[in-house]
Amino acid sequence: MKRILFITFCLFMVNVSFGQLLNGNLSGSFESNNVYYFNDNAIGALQPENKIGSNNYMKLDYRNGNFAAGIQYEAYLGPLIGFDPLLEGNEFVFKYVQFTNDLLNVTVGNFYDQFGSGLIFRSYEERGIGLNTAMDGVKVEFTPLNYLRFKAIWGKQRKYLKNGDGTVRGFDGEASLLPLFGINESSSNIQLGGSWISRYQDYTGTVEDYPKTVEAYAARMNIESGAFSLYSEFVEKDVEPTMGNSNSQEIGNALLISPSLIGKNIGINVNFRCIKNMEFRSEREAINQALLLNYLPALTRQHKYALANLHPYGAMAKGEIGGQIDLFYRLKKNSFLGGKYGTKISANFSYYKNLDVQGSGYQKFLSVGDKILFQDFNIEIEKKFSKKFKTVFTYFNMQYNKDAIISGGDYIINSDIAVVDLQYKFSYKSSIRAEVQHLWTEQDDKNWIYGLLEYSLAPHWSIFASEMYNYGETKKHYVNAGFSYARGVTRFLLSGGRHKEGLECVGGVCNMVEAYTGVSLSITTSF
Amino acid sequence: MKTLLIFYVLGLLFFEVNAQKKLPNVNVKDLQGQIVSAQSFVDDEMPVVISFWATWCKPCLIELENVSEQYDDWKEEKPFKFIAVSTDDSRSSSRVKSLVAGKGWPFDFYLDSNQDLKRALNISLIPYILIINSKGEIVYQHSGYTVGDEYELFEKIQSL
Repeated sequence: MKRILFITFCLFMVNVSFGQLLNGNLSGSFESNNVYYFNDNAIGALQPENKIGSNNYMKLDYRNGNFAAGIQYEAYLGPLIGFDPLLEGNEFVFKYVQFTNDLLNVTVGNFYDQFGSGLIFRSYEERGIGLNTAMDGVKVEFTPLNYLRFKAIWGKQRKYLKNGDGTVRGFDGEASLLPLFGINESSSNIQLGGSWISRYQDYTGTVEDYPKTVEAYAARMNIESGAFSLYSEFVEKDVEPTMGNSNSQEIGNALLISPSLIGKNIGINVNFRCIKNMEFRSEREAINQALLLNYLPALTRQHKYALANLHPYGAMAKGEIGGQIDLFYRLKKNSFLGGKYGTKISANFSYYKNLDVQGSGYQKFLSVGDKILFQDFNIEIEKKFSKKFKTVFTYFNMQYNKDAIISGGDYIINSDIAVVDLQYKFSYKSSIRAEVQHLWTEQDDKNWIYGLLEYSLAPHWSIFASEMYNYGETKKHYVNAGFSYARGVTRFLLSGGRHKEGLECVGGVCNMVEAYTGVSLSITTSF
Repeated sequence: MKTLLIFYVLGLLFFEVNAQKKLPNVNVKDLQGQIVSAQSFVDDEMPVVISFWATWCKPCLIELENVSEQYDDWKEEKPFKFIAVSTDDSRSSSRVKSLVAGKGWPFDFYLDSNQDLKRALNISLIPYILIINSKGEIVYQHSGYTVGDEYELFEKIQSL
């Protein structure tokens, strides 16, 4: 009898603990991108030795109350064109256990994080280009009061499918001032923050006094007052001569100032930024997208149209000064210019130059050099003519200093681009979208034209075909077509065609991606 | 003994069925820069739609525009809340506030600048929509946007 009771008790315990386990949440996602490559001499696309590229990701998270744990598996068999060939292989790359309550958030294993706007530290994942700078170590977030929070991180950083050599530690604090002084106003807010990042990597070379430890400091401020807001951040980084910065003996600096103002139907924001020698990695020998510790995005408008993306700017970590201004405005419904449905306008102007170089050969922070790196003026007008018919017109003028961005030379491509984007609804389920784009330039490959047709049948189907043609110089056609099927959270995309070689810029670093021709199949789902 | 086993299996099944997916305890920022837990999205009176978008994502902008055109009419028919979480990182997150002011969109906006919430919800592609009921349980999810998808979304809201 006792034995039966004991077994009952055990089973009951097992049941309860299992129940609790199952009472938590198990969720995950799966993504698979595959391309079969062809030889296509016309556009200089070579079939790689491994004709099939395949990138795969599986993520699993378990949550129960204050507790969470998870893993991510990645397989690059082999890596798609445009991804670093060193990613070849498969591994459980991301594993973590986390505990959260009101006061503490402790993560051991892998984690992502960002201090301020990321100018000093950002660890993140950008799957589309194979960038993953996850940390592997410990993160502690401490929130003693709801307007005061501290973060400490310690660990190694992911390098392809393993970890890099450098050890990174960091600390960040942020305080909201108004509640500190007992003022509680929801529309106003002043926040101050400060960060420190230190990286240690052993050095066995012959240079005397070579820095094994490199540190960076940042201070930031955010002010919100009704319609007005202002964000500002300043960073200073130790001298670290590396191959990447041509053995520079300069310290690194960055200053970001971004005010914005909003009103009814109008919004304006400005970014001003100067950076000097801000390439910062957890391993001094790292190249391309590996082991980046900070995030230096191009502060320009990210364009949605193909021809406007032929000449993308990437922030110059070595040195740049400039900024952008954005305007968003809505003309009211039933007004003279607004028409029956209202009209929406957005415009952007971006402008970047290099830094002035002093006699000593050092760049001067907050100075303006003689080279234009990039300039972009664009205006977009969105107009609805009826319940069924909508249009978007966009015009761009771009000055792109191709040589300065790629090799340090000076060769400006001056282009004008016009885009007409039309959407027509046949019924509440079926619709068609068309894009016509044209790029005029006297330089580089001269004129381009682009057309796209996309037919959608909600809720599952979408089919598209596009053609990009350089009639100015190379006479090359880039045809693409495909369809997608979506059901709930699952999506299939089958497409095929030619892809132009191009520059891919992220976080202050640009890579050249070679041309390819292929058929691609993607599956994404989550559960 | 057999009965116990049956109970045990039934218990497991019960707990398993009961394990409804909920919003994780992850922080995002509101447009004033204040930190807010995603769990504060739950409204005990009406369903809440959460849409993940970005300023550079064309289908996301089309989706938000198309929902905003119907929003007032639909809310009258069936009260619900619409929250738009921007996944823009610091390249474009400073643009979110002025863009939504200029578009005149009537939703509640939040920033997920390092994609912590997006990742915790296992979202790989945006646009991505989910609906949470008044208990905070995720009752509908949809990835991608095709013109007309908003009608399926509203049908689902009505059925809650």
